Formats: sequence, structure tokens, C-alpha cells
Amino acid sequence: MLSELLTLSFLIKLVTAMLGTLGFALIFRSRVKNLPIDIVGGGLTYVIYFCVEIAIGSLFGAAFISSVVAAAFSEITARIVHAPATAFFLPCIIPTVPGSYIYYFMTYLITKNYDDSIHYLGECAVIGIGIAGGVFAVSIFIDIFSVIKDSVSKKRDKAEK
Amino acid sequence: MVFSKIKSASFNNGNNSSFASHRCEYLLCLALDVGEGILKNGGEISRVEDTVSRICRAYGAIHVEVFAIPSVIIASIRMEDGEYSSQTRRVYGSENNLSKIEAYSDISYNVCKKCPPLEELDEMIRNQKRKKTLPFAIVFLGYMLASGSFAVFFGGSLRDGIVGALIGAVFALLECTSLGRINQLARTALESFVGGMMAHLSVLAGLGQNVDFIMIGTVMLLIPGVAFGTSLRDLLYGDFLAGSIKMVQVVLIALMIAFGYLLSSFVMGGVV
Repeated sequence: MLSELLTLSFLIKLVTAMLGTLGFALIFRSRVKNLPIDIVGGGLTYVIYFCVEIAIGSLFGAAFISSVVAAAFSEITARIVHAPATAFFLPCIIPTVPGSYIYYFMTYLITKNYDDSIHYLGECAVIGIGIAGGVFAVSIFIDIFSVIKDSVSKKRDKAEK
Repeated sequence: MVFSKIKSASFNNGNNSSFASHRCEYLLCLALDVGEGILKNGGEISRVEDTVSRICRAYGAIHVEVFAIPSVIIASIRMEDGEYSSQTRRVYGSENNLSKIEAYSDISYNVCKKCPPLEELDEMIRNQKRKKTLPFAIVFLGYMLASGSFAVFFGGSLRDGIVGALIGAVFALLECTSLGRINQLARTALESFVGGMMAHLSVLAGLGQNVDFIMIGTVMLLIPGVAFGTSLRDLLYGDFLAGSIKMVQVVLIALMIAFGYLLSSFVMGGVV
């Protein structure tokens, strides 16, 4: 895998993914102080997506795991800089959005190649479900963590009284 | 603002019961202002409901009910003295403005912590509404950067990236003109058509090299990928109505993109 990470094409993709993330962060009117975090998050998400896709060859797995990483990164960063996690998650997840699949879905639909068109539509749905599932998994984990933390602090307060 | 009249009237006639009732109305109105600010700028439904609820509880509401969908927030509160208020807020249109979401979340956080007088909260909200975020030139650069970078990211050449950036610039200009205020679906179809035509023409003119990659770069600006993810997330969270509404929006926007590109391919048919 390391050899694939050190190729020029990967580096070009990584740099353009980070620049694209910056572009979307500007379109989404992200705060200037958050821009470096968005760029790092976008790069990290793409590296994870790329590595998982090579390692296990699954689009769903790549979308799910990279989404988990992006959501966890956003939640942790949000707690450090006291901002909503959405402010980081939206730009960070952009490199995994299946733009090319959507384009090919439309192209094959136009040329009446319905089999390929449905194939690409299915791939889009798989990636979308993977991304949503990843965010959902992280938020469930945080909810459980918060409930446990609250109950522990309540017990501690009772014991102190 | 209507509430400033209500407040002064209440103070002037010295009617305490009426004033308490208006305070209750005033509190809910301000909480809804903050919720609307978050919803209008692309915040999650759960965040909107949570924010309105927290603000009302911080100011002494003992019972709060909030329901939000992408275009409406409905809320009712009951105070300890029995005063009751119920309001509905219609939210027209929304965009992704992360600075504003962050600013409104900051207001909510500070208000819940310090409970300043409602007039102060009102002033904070007004200041936030007046505040400008990033200047258009920077957002314009963002459109160019996003479109150009993703044209190269998906396999295009540097020339494709430059053409992608130029098309991104056109999209940004369309957004800032009066066209940016027309129906979102019509605007998406128009932008897809313009993007498709420009991609085809640039290759014909010898500026771009691959129509596919230029168009993929520009599609990235239009596709509701993030909206698709958030609608699924809303559905998974149990916000079925909000998730379904967003999903319908996503499907319609995707259809409009396909329509715009189909039209441009039809016009340029057989040329490229």
C-alpha cells in the first residue's frame, strides 16, 4: 500500500482534494481560523478513503470508515475549538462525494445505456449510505458516552452530598 | 420590531401580568430567531430543536416543545408562573453558511451560561443578522478552486482544471446576480446547462481536453451530496419528516442537474 501512496498520481489527488476542500470551505463561508483544520480534515478523509478502498476493495467500506474518521475528527476538533462539529464535517467529507459516479450515471442515462446507468446510481447510493452510516455510528457513540458521563457525574454528586 | 412596541407598552401601562405574558412571548420569539438562524444557514434539525429548547429552559421555561422541519419551526413553552406561549416560524430558503451556524451556536452557548437580559439577547441576534461573513471575492475564489481542483482530482489535465475553474467562476457570478434568487431547481437546471455548454465549447475551442472531467468538476459544485448525507442522517436519527423532505429536494435537484446536462448534450449533440 505504501508504494501506492508514494505515487505522483496519488500526491496530485491528495493536493487537489485538499484544495477542493478549501474551495468548498470558502463556498460554505467557513470561518478563516477554521480553514487550516478543514484542509487537514479533507486530506485525512481522502487518505483514509483511498487506503481502505485499496486494502479491502469495497466502496461502502471506504465511504463508511472515512466518514467515521471525518466525523470523529470533526467532533474532537469541535470540542477543542468550541465550535459545532458541522462546521468541520461538511468541508471534510467533500472528497468522498461521488461526483464522477453521478456524472457517469447521467451520461449513461442520456445515451440510453441503462444497465451502466443503474450500476453507477447503485454505487452512488452505496457511498451515500456509507457516509450517512459513518456519521450515525459516531453520533451514537457520542450519545452513549455522554449518557455514561452524565450518570457517573450524578453518582459522584450524590456520593459527595 | 413588534416586540419593542410591546415592551414599551407593557412598561408604560404598568400591567405586570401583561408584561409577564409578553416576556414569555418575547423569550420564545428570540429563541426562535436563533433557531431560524441555524436552520436558514444549513444547521441540522436536531441542533435547531435542541438550541430553542435549551435557551427557553435557561430562562425558566418548565415545559418546552419544539418541532422543526427544513421550512418551519413550531414551538410552545410554559413558564413556572403558568404563562404560556406558542409560535410558528416559517423559514424561507436555506444555504450553507458555517460562520453563521457557529455564531448562532456561540450565542446559544453564552446565553444559556450567563442568562443576560432578553434585550441583550435581542441585540446580539440583531448584530449577528447585520454581520457580513466572507467577502464575495473570497467565495468567488472558492468556486473556482473547488471546480478546478475536482476536475484534476477526478483525472483531468491542468487545462481541464483551468476550464473547470472558469466555469466555477461563472457559477459564482450566477449566484450573486438576481438569478441567484430564482427558484433553486430552475437555477440548478440553468447552471447545469451553462456548465455543460461551456465544457463542450471549451473542448471545441481547444482550451479544455476532456469534457468528462471538466463536467465532473463542475457537477461537484451542484450535486447535493452533503444534503443526501444529512437527509439520510435525519432519517436514521428518527427525524423522518425532515429527512424525507430533504430527500425529495435531493432527488429533484439531481433530476434538474441531469436535465441541464442532457439539454447541453442535446444542443451540442454529435459535435464532441
